[in-house]
Amino acid sequence: MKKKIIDEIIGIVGKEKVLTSPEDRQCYAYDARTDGVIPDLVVFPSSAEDVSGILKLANRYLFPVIPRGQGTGLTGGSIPLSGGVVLVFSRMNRILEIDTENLIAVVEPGVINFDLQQEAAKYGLFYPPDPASYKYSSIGGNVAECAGGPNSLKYGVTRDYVLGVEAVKPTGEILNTGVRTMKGVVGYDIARLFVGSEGTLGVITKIILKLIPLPEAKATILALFQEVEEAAEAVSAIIAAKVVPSTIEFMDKASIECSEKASPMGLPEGIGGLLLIEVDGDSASIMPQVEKIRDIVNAKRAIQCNVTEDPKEADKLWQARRALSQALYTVNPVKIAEDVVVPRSRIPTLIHALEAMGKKFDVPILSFGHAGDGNFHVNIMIKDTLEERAKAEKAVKEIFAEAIRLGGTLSGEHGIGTSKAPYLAMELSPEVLETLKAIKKLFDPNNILNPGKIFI
Amino acid sequence: MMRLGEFLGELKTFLKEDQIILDREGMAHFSYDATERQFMPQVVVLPNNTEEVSKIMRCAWKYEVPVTPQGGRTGLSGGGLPVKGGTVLSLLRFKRIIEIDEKNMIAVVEPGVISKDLQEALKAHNLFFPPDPSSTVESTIGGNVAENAGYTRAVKYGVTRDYVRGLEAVLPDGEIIHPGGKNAKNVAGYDLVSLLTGSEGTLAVITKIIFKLLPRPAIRRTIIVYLNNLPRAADIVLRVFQAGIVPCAIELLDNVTINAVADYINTPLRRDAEALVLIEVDGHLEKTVNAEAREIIPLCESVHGVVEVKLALDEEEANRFWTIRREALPALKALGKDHFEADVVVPHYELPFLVKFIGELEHGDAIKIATFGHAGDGNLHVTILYRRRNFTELDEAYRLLETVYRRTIEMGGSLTGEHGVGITVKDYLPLQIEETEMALMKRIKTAFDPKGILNPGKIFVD
Ligand SMILES: Cc1cc2nc3c(=O)[nH]c(=O)nc-3n(C[C@H](O)[C@H](O)[C@H](O)COP(=O)(O)OP(=O)(O)OC[C@H]3O[C@@H](n4cnc5c(N)ncnc54)[C@H](O)[C@@H]3O)c2cc1C
Ligand SMILES: Cc1cc2nc3c(=O)[nH]c(=O)nc-3n(C[C@H](O)[C@H](O)[C@H](O)COP(=O)(O)OP(=O)(O)OC[C@H]3O[C@@H](n4cnc5c(N)ncnc54)[C@H](O)[C@@H]3O)c2cc1C
Repeated sequence: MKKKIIDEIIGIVGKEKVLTSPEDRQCYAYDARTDGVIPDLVVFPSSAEDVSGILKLANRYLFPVIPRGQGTGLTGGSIPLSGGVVLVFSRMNRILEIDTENLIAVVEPGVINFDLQQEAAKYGLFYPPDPASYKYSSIGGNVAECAGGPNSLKYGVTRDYVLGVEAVKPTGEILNTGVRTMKGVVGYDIARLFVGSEGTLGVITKIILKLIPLPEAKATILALFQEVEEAAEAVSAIIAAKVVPSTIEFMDKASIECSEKASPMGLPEGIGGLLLIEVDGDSASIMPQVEKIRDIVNAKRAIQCNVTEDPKEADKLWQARRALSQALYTVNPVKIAEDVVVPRSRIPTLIHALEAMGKKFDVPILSFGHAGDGNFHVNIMIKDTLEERAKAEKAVKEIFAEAIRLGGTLSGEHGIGTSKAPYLAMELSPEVLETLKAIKKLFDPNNILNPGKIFI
Repeated sequence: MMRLGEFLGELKTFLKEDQIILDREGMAHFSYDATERQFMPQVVVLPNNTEEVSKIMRCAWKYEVPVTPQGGRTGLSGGGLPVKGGTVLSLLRFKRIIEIDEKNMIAVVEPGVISKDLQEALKAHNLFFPPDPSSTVESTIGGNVAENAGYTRAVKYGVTRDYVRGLEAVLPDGEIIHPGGKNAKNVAGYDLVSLLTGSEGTLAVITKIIFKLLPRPAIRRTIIVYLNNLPRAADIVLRVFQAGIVPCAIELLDNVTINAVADYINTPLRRDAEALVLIEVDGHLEKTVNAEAREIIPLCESVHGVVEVKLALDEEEANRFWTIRREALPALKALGKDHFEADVVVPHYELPFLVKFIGELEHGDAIKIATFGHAGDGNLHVTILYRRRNFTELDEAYRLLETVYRRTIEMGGSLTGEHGVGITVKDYLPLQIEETEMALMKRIKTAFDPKGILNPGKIFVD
């Protein structure tokens, strides 16, 4: 990018909001998935007007603009692919309003998920979407990816909480869309079109979120199974028994062994499947739900079942699951993480297929995730060699093919970004892809906003 | 230029005689909806399957014939009316419930299935599909998705959109798309499912729907509350939420509506009450549901202006309470007046103020304003009744409607909560939607339908 353009941008936003040195810019070239190229400029906007000014210039001089939250994305959504300006929202991090009368929060995009949860809890309110990255990821990034989390089973995903957004269109106009009300069917649902659009349709500068009353009580259940089928059957049986836990998390054999090695919690050896289940609601409703679940997991031959209502004890039960993200790297240094979803009844088939693929391609595959949603995080752990990467790539392609064959999808919550873009055509028909591209084009005729993402 | 003759000629090559209606009496049946406005189509087609819809669209595209998708014609914003002539494409023959998948708690249905028929079918499986508008005996599932319909239990269970996981749809040029699927989550590409839901048949014809289902709640408790003060009724909504309870429904009827219902059906009602509030809580455990009901009763009793609080003794009485609510609109229609209905929605906290504002509106004696609706969502149906063909009153009704709309927007509300824009709200949209957003919506419309043949004349002012 020409210095003249960079100076013009600085002229709009002010010197104190940009980073220009190569070392500083380097920090915004990658996300939790992969590396991109170093951006020409990093800007920390403090208002929609800042963003609008930059986007107008971008259309004049045709440089890429890449929105970025905290860079915890797992599909390369926030990385620059051909220079340009990265907009980092860490300074637009105010919770503007917690409206306790209408159960609404109004936030800037840079607010960290955890901070919003804490603030809402002060008023006895609850913001359910809780990606595992909740202590680090931004609400803007969550909205752009339509993040899910353990709570999604009962409470739904980010989309279900977005009532409205302020967004700057790629051409620079500031748009206020959506409602502050529980309903609204005025025209097309533009607010939700922004949700999950991965920063390719507009830059989100303010978000109106729905809150709900904080559940009074909660219990955590850890159930261990010899065989993975038993765990999978237990999941189906729980759902069929008409209990809706807030969470059912699953770990396969390889994941259990891995986390137990890195951070032992004394689990018995040779466990084929682990379920972490949480139920919530008013105090009186907890134990009846727990009893039902306990009966079911026992009927499915659980070899161990621990229950607690004490938050500290619950933390201990979560240990294996929490330690896992880091523990994975003890297997091998490079992680290729995918997040496929299948209809719940196909879970056992998927798990077996994954085991078989690990053998076939001779790569360790560790799976865990939100079993209640049928959403699995499939982690292929490899050494950093070209040969291993090629093997992993083949495995990924087959995993996607299998997920789609089972009626599933490529991505439950991490999005498409750059890493899944080559595979999108496996799932979406040419007609759907054409429609998506037409939408992109009408929002962003010059293709300046986060180019190279979703579509190749 | 529309080439109707050639269009009809080509239709006859793949549709049977009974699938094409051209006689006036036959077509008249498809020419009006619950807005009570009438527009005659030039032809009505009744396809049996997706391929036929695709072929019809391809012909319409080729010969530039307007196509208006239509379901049960219970729409309250005129979305299903062929305002630009051309053909009505009725989905009434898409009647199959294709699959009820208990394992994944999913239903796959065709758009012409009547809301109530799906409800009945699911009962047998002990499964629950919450969206069930008051028009349940006539509205179609496709219409509900196209309007993103609400219903009394939306307070707890969300609106139709929250249950749509996947669609099959035919684009204006005849291409068939399948966005979404059976999965609980899906972020592969833009969210076309949400975009098509609520798009009022202007972007694509929906030919199949994949819904998420829930376990059927086993227990419900229904409470009826009478008040001698209308704004206080809205206070009840706030109090209940503040107590941390999320009931499945909180419905409100004002005095005019109560009396209309009392005239219309034979059921005990307090005609002198200024407001009637219905509250329902539900769940899977008797203990929890009872505890919530027991908490709500004294809470209502402590609200100023409450004259009676009553818990339904049994299922039969609960059903009787609900009949009062369900018959509200039919009862008002039976008054034999013309009416405008504003389907406004405001943030909860504003609700008492909106109700008060409406109560204080000045108008001629012969005009009546009936207010009822989904108070728990902040969604009211403000019904302005005036004498048929009385043009002075018509003008006044227009003025009142606009006043209500303007106040709603000032309160941070929305002009329609569930009935859609169609033809009745489109002139008022600029009150709520900024020019840039409106332009964007128009461009979305153009991207899907560059020739403007699918449901023209709706949502956007020409
Ligand atoms: C350990 C770990 C665990 C994780 N667990 C989960 C999980 O359980 N569930 C889950 O869903 N995800 C999970 N993730 C993925 C990631 O945290 C989420 O996708 C998160 O929403 C990204 O937020 P971010 O602020 O880091 O965004 P970034 O990574 O910075 O950006 C993500 C995308 O959002 C866009 N974007 C960011 N801000 C804006 C804005 N203001 N306007 C427009 N576009 C914007 C970017 O352009 C990019 O396309 C996990 C990641 C890690 C590292
Ligand atoms: C007594 C009464 C009570 C009502 N109660 C409620 C209520 O509680 N909540 C609520 O939200 N509404 C309510 N309504 C309004 C109405 O019933 C709903 O909007 C309903 O969803 C319309 O369904 P329909 O099949 O009658 O659609 P129609 O009126 O035939 O069409 C409505 C719109 O949907 C489009 N459409 C229909 N089928 C398709 C398809 N397959 N593909 C694409 N577009 C299609 C049409 O083009 C049109 O724009 C009520 C109406 C009445 C008369």
